[in-house]
Order: sequence, then C-alpha cells, then structure tokens
Amino acid sequence: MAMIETIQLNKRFGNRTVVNDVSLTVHSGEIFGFLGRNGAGKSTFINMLTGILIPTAGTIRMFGEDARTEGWKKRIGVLPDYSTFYDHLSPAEHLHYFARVKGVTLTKEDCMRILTAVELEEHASRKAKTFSFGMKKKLGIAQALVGDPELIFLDEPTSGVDVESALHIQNLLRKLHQQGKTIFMTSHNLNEVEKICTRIAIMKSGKISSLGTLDELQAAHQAWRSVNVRHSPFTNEDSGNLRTFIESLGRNTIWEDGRLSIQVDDDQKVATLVRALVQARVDIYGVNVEVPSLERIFMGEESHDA
Amino acid sequence: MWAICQHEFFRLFKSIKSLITVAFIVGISYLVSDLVNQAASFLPETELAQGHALGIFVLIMLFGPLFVFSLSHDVINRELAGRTIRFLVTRTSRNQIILGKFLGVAFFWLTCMIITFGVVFATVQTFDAKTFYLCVSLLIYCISLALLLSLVIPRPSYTMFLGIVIALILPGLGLWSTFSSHPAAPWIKYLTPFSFMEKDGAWTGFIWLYAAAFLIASMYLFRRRDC
Repeated sequence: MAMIETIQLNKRFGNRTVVNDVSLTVHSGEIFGFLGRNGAGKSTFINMLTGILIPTAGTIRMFGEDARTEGWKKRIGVLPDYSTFYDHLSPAEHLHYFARVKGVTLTKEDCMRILTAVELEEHASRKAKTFSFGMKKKLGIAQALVGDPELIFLDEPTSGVDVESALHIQNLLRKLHQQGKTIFMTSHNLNEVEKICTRIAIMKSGKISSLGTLDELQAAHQAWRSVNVRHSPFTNEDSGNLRTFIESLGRNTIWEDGRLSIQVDDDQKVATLVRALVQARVDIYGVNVEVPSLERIFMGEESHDA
Repeated sequence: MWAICQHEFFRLFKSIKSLITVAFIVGISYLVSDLVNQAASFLPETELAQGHALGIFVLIMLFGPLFVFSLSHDVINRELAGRTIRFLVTRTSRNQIILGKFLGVAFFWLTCMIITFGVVFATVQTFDAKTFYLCVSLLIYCISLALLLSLVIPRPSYTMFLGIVIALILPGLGLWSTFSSHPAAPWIKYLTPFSFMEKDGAWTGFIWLYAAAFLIASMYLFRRRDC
C-alpha cells in the first residue's frame, strides 16, 4: 500500500525552484532514506509532505487520500528539521499537550514509555528551556511518537546528538520498523542510512537523481568493488604474465609488498583473480572485498555536478 | 481545537502582564461602581445598573483594544517565529488552530468580563446585561483583528507596535467618525465598531459580522501560508 505518493510536486520561493516536479511513492513498512547535500530540497520536500509548507504545484496523496483533507494528520508523527519547544513546559507536558492537539489519549504510562525510549525519562518534569540541543532533538523524536503513528517523518533524527545516543536512536528506528511502522527520514549520516534504510533516494537541485534499494543503487551506478589480497611473494617465472593477467581483470591495480589492491566491476572476476593466484602457487593469506559504500555512490552523484 | 484553546487560555492567565491587566480592570470597575453607588440617590432607578457599569464600559471602550492588542498581538506569529506552530500544523487542521487560538483568547476576555461584572454585582447588586454585551462585542472584534494582524505580519515586535497604534487610533477614529460632519466620516464610521454601538439594537450585530469576517480571512490566509 502506498503511504505517500507525490505527483510532480513543486515548490518555489520567489523565482527559486527548490523542489522541481518530484514524483515519488513510499510504501507501507519501508524505512525510506532521503539524501542530499544542504540546500538540495530535502527539508522542503518533507515539510510539504507533513503540511508545514504549501506546495506551489503538484499533488500529494497520504494513505491514498488527497493531502489537502488533513484528516491523515492523526496517523503521522513528525520530527521537523528545526525543533523549538515551549520553554515553560516539561517533556511530559509537551507530550500530553501534543496528544490532546492530535485528539489521542496519552496515559502517564504511555508518556513515560515514550520518554524512556528516547532516554529522557529522568528529565520528564524538567522545563524544556534548560535542555541542550541533543536533548531537544530527543524530545522532538519523542513527540513524533505520540499517538502511535503509522507513518513517521524524521528530518535528521541523529544530527547534533552524541554517538551513543545516535546508536540508540538507530536501534529505536529498527524497533519501530519491526513493529510495522513506515519511516521517512533525511540524514547526512550516510553510514546510518546505509545501515537502516530499506530504500534510498538522492536529491540533487530539487530533483531525485537516484532512487532504489542500496543494491539497486550499486547496480545502477556500476560501482567498482575494491579487492585487497595479502599474498606470498611471486616466485614463478611467469609472474610477469600473471601480473598482466590480473591487471586486465580490473582497474587501479596497486602492487605493494605482499599486497595487491584492484578494483573489479563483477563478482566473477574476484573468483578468477583468486583462481589465477592459486594456480600460480601463490599463497593467499587474506582476501577482502569492499562493496561500494553509499558514501561513494553519493559522492559520485554529487561529482556529476562538478 | 479545544487543546489549543485551553493552552492559550491558561497561557494568558499564567502571564503577569495579563493578571495585572485583569486586576486593573476589576479594580477600576469596582471603584467606579462604588462611587456611583454612593451617589445612587441622584440617579433614576432604571439607570442605576448602567451607572454602576459605567466604569467598565468607559474602560473597555477606550482601552479595550489596547488591552487586547498588548496581550494577544502575537497570538499566531509568536508560534510562527518560534516554529512551535510546526508541532500543531502536523497534528491538526489549520482551521482548528485558528479557531482554537481565537476561542482561547475569547474565553480569557469573557472570563475577565464575568469576573469584573461579578465583582460589581457582588458590590452593588446590579448587572447591566447591555453593557456586558457591548463590552464583549468590542473585545471579540479586537481579538479577531489581532488574530488577523498576527497572521499577516510575521514578527511579534512589529505586531506589538502596530497593535498599539491601532489600539490608540481605533477608539479615536470611532468617536470622531461617529460625531463628525466630515465627508469621510460616514464611510469611516462603519469600519469601526463604535458607530454600531451608538446605533444600538440589531446594528451591533455588524460588530460580530466584522469579527467573523476577520476570522474567516485569517483561516483563508493561514491555509495558504508556509509555516
């Protein structure tokens, strides 16, 4: 089932087009990662989906219904890109207020369960004005979970929090995913997106330049795998031929003392490489194949602009 | 809507500025009603209740707009500037936010008027329903206008300034246009609530129509506004 569907969505600020005819579908149960450099249009896009910004043109359908009806708002949770809170309210008071605005019941137990999930249970009655940036971010995630939403939008959920808290938030997102929630998130942490997202879109200059699972993105970008081999010295008289053959398998070959590094574009070539070494009676101490990271794909996308 | 209404209502009551304003209105009203009561023998029986409520009436007619604008000039743009509005627009409809804010401020002033008239009633045992209705009508007009202004102008500091200017001009303009023979006066007087009050009767309904128009305009603009 399509949770989010946009058709030729457009947003202009004055003469500047920030989101340009973006059509996208996000299905139930996905953790959808939305990437792009600063100013690419990620936050503008997510803000249009959540009703914060009004689209200049195009259509948004949430849970299959026209987004202008606004009835779907009860079914979503949102962490906006810039979260400021009511200074005079505590986290618990925030959650209770937001629950009432949403028209859902929030018991004290529910409230504490949410605050515990984001490690704020000890600060439940402290005024939000005394909170650090990281704590406000956690409170932002907590308020997005009020009312047990089916679809959760998180704009950079781990930016500004310490490493331990970031890992905790990643685990929380995995748990929510296991519970069947659909998550739409933006992040600058490519490692995080690579680890937890089931589908990824890369946005560039207001358009989606790449879309798919990590495997699909890797395939689409014909990414080169880096193969690193630790081996015994070549003693064979034909070592020259062996080197030539190995170099013909890929590109950027580097020979160092007992180490070979090469980039190949096919898994079969890794097998051919190892077989050639074994047949030449070279001892192999270790083989490491590095699948291209999302970072490399992302940087490759961005370098097209340069 | 009710959660936003309740939040706004209690927020106003928690503010020192609001409490001082309410205390000032109640205090002046009590003093005037007590003073009028001491001169009760000089007033006809039928006008006694009106006389007791004179303090409230004059205070609200002259300074009601100032009270409303000083306390609620930033009812919407405060949340827009602080971006807390994002927590509301992602949870409920934009119309509900406007209505919730309006009702929260309206209930605050209604409570304030009930307390003030209650104190007068407790002191001199009279209640002038007409004065109560006119005061509430003017306050509702001002609240709707403050809401619209707060939506159109993004910065709270600007609405604070403009609100005070309007609050000072509105009664002056209203009184001038009602009694002036200037050619522009007949047109201007229908923009302010004072001439409708002077005409009395069903004409006071126009004050509520203006308030409704401001409220509908606010809803219309908010539905088209980025937050």
